[in-house]
Amino acid sequence: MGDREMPGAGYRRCARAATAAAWLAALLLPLAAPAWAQEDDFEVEDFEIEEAAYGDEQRYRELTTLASEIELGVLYDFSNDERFGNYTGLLDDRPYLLGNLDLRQRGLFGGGDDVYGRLRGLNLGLDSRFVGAEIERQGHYGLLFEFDQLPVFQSETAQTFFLPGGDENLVLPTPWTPGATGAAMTQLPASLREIDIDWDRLRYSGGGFVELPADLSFDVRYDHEVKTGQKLVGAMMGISGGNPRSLVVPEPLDYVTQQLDAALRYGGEDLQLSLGYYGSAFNNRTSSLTWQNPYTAVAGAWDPSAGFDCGGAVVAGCGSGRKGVAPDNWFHQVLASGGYNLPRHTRVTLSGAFGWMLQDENFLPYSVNSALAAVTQAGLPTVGSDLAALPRSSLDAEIFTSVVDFHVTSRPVERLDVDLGYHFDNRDNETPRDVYVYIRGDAEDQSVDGLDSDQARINLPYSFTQHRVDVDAGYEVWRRTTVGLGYAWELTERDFQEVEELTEHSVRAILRSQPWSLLGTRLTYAHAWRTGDDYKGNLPFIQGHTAVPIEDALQACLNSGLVPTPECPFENHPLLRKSYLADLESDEVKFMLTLLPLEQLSVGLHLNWALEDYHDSEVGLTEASRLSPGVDFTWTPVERITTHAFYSWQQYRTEQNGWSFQGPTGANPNRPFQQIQDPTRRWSSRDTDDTHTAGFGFDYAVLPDRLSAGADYVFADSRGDIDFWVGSALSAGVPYPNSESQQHNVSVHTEYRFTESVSMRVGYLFAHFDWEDWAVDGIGPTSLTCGASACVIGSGRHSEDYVANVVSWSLVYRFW
Amino acid sequence: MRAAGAALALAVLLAASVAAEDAAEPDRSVLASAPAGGGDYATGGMDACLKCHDETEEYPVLSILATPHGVKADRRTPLASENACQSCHGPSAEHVRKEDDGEPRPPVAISFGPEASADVVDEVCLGCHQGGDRMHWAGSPHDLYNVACTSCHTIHAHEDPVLSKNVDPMRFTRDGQAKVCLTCHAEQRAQLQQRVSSHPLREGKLDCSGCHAPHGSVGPKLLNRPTLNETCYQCHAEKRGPFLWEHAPVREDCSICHTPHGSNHPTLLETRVPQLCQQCHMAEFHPSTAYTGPDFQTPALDFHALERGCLNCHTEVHGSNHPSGVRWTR
Repeated sequence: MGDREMPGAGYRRCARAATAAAWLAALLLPLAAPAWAQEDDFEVEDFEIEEAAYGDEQRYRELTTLASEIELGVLYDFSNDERFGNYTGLLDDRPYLLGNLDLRQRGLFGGGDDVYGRLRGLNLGLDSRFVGAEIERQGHYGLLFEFDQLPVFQSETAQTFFLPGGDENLVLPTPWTPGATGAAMTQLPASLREIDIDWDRLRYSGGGFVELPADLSFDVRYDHEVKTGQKLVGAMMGISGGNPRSLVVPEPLDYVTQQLDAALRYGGEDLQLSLGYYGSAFNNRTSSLTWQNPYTAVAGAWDPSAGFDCGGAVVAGCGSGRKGVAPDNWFHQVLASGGYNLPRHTRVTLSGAFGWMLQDENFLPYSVNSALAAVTQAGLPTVGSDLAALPRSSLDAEIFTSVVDFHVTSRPVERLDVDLGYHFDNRDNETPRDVYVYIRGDAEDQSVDGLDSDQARINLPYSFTQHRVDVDAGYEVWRRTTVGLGYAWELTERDFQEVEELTEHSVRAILRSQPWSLLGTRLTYAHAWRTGDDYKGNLPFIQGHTAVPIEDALQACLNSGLVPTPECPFENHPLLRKSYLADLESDEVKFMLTLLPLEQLSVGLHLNWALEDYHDSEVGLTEASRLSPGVDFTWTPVERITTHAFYSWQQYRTEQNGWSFQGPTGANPNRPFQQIQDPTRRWSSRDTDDTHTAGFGFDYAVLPDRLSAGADYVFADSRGDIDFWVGSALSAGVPYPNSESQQHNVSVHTEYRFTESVSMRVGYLFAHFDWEDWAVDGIGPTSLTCGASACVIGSGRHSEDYVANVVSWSLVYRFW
Repeated sequence: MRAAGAALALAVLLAASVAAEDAAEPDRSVLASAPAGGGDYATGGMDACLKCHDETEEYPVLSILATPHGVKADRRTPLASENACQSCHGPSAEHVRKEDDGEPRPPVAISFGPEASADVVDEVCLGCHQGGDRMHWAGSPHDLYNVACTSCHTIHAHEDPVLSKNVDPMRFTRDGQAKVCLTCHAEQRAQLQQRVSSHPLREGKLDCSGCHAPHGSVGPKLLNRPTLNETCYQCHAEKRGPFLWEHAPVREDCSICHTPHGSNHPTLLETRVPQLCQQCHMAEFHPSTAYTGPDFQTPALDFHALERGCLNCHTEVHGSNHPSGVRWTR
């Protein structure tokens, strides 16, 4: 296992404390239970059901009284594959405490008691534990407290040569010999160490409700979540002529997210109202990620001190890189809803949600390297580490969100249901627009050619407005058989994007029928067509630059005489159509059939198919399709045995076209304009993902009320193929390998009941996951392209398989 | 806009027309107060039913006594009413009166079995439960597909499975809520088995209702927040921004790049990087280059498609707040 530098130790202690508290309660409550129960000591006569037959008092009690349960035992994980611990917490080859408890109490029926209490503890011995407590007086008030822990484990094979403990400041080992390539960094191989890429989410929640007079109620919930660990990120030193120098490094995660959700509700017979508030605050306790540059200096656009060896200039912190991290942000939202019942089964609902997103984190300076001399042109502000060069010290970003939804459903005549809806979604981004300078790295030359240069960029605060109208009607044509027709119209308006208005129409037809309980079926078909305004591929480029570079690009394009005027200037290939903005025709079919040919047998069939045809897109995504047939069986051959089985195949396929082109050269300034029209530079890709999933299992009451057993098996096989074609001007390269994953999972569980209250559970779990990912397998930290001008030092991780064998044994104490 | 206006006007007219009707038909919340089927209520409260439907019943009828519906101290519950079981099952005097002479009894007024009409079932339940999260049930996808409340909810159970949080690392097939939902949503069940990347539903650490509001919602796809992105931000608030350098599709809709129920690619991506990025980015030099598979015969492998692909450098694809983060590299 690799080293871990993970903040949040205090929260881990809280997790342990929550677990301990749950266990303390578990130990005390059974002791208290007899006393608790004494007041309502189980007497059949206590029930008001005086004339009911009480043939089986135990059965009667089991039916009418909530049981509490404490399970205590041991899990032994014989695997040592940490990837298996993702979401489960079963990380190591060692025993774990198996602890679950569920303590419940509700007053006996007719006793006049409306108090309900519950304490749950799940997976208490694992890092996936949950503890929840709730108590309420039904119809009056209630309180809720929860603790939930989620371990996320991504990799145990990633490597880094940065020293441990650096957290947001990654420090190179000493001594360190910088190099233009990984091979030249002589200390690199010996300095590599494995790190775990994982994080924990610890969520603490509290809430409650109170029923108020006049059919009013109020509920509130507060969540406080801490996420700590580390993830992999790209850490780029800079770019020289389009060639990057980058590293894949661990970035610490230390997030705190708080959420508050509260609503006042009115629940009348015909009128229901709610008025709520939702707030969310995100706090990143890491402000940036800084790393020492392992590379040597590069001449040219790079500052001489861009390498770790600062060229003999002994200055602290020279040649470091830095990147921003997720900034603190807030979201406030007011939600209001109302629903009213009218005659003719008519209901009207109107809802609105009005929100405000905020972010005002202080900007980082252009460079972390204070020693870098700011080289500017006359009249321009100094950049480098001088924040005054920025148009503002923080963004003061805000987005106003509005969602309005109006619906009327009605049955104007017998058998006919009508539904009309209007939906409005607006995200009004009011973030101020300013000119910023694009300096490619903290250790690059910090000079600015001018605010009228290509370095000057204007931020694009995207706004979005969508109107949608739905009309649906369904008519019952025969015995529980309904035919429905629907139509939807949608208009989407966007700022700063290639298409300002996009209109979509869709029609749908639905047949649903369940004439008898042994047969149920549903068939839906939908067709949609989407068209937009003229696709202005250069609009984001024009709106994101200042006047001079736009004019320069325009003139270069026009001067070539090769590109139609409307397409000049361009950044992306003029024939590109971004898929979510492109004209589209789509079809979708969904079919489901449920059969009960025998009382003991049910069969389900489903088939989903969808096709998206981007018919006007010559470059970009041209087609996407999904296909998913499947079958399910549930069979109860005898009363004590139930079995189930399923199979499903899913295929997702995308087809896209590309057009490779290069920038101008001194000798050939028209090269991009020539190449965007050269069909031999085209390429195509078809990505197909196929997944087969199957499973079966059974539950068997071997000895009713004494011994039960069950087993499940799930198999999944996924395969991703990429078929690639390139034009004759391009290098054919080598075919993409398949990306494959396969899993077999077996679980067996038995329970033997010694007495009414005490039972034993034994379980076994086998999990095998085999994953082949060509993007990382066989690729070490220094396997990637690395030369004097371009280099990426990777993490060396590989796709992680696991084989897990877990056995469990536990005793269960059940009481009422 | 004209279509929207026309539809809105039509909707208002429809609402107004039905509002003008004399409210002569049964109230939606009928059963606690008035017969729905025109029959009589049997007297005797719950005893009348439990003479036959006792603990020997194969279906655990009596379990309702240990549920919120069985709390007599709460005057709102059906069993607190003098009509007791008939509060939901409707006036069933004929069913109760029938002598046990071997002939089948007339059924109760309202049965909740597989033969039951979703309209009738839903009307019974919504009579009391139309507020709160159920406010948007009418016209919601489940309503339009005739899904009855009892298709998902089990009333006569100590713990309704669809409301149950079940975390058992020793089982690969989930009990509780996910099992109920995935009975119909078989495509999602298969996606959740993806181990390359998936949300932790299979491990019981997230339930369908963590993202979805099955009774109807203002948001798309029955999501429990008004928009898809706001739903995702509940757990991924660090991606909310707003950022200085926004990535347009990220601001608009996470599902343009991600598929939430499971993927054969890392981080729930729809397609592999760099192909996914190249669906929208086709500029000169490296964004438009035709990247092919790793050639292990060469001394250096192309980093554009390997390791993290485009994200080896463009690591802040969800948005950057660095003043020079226009290309999401900083």
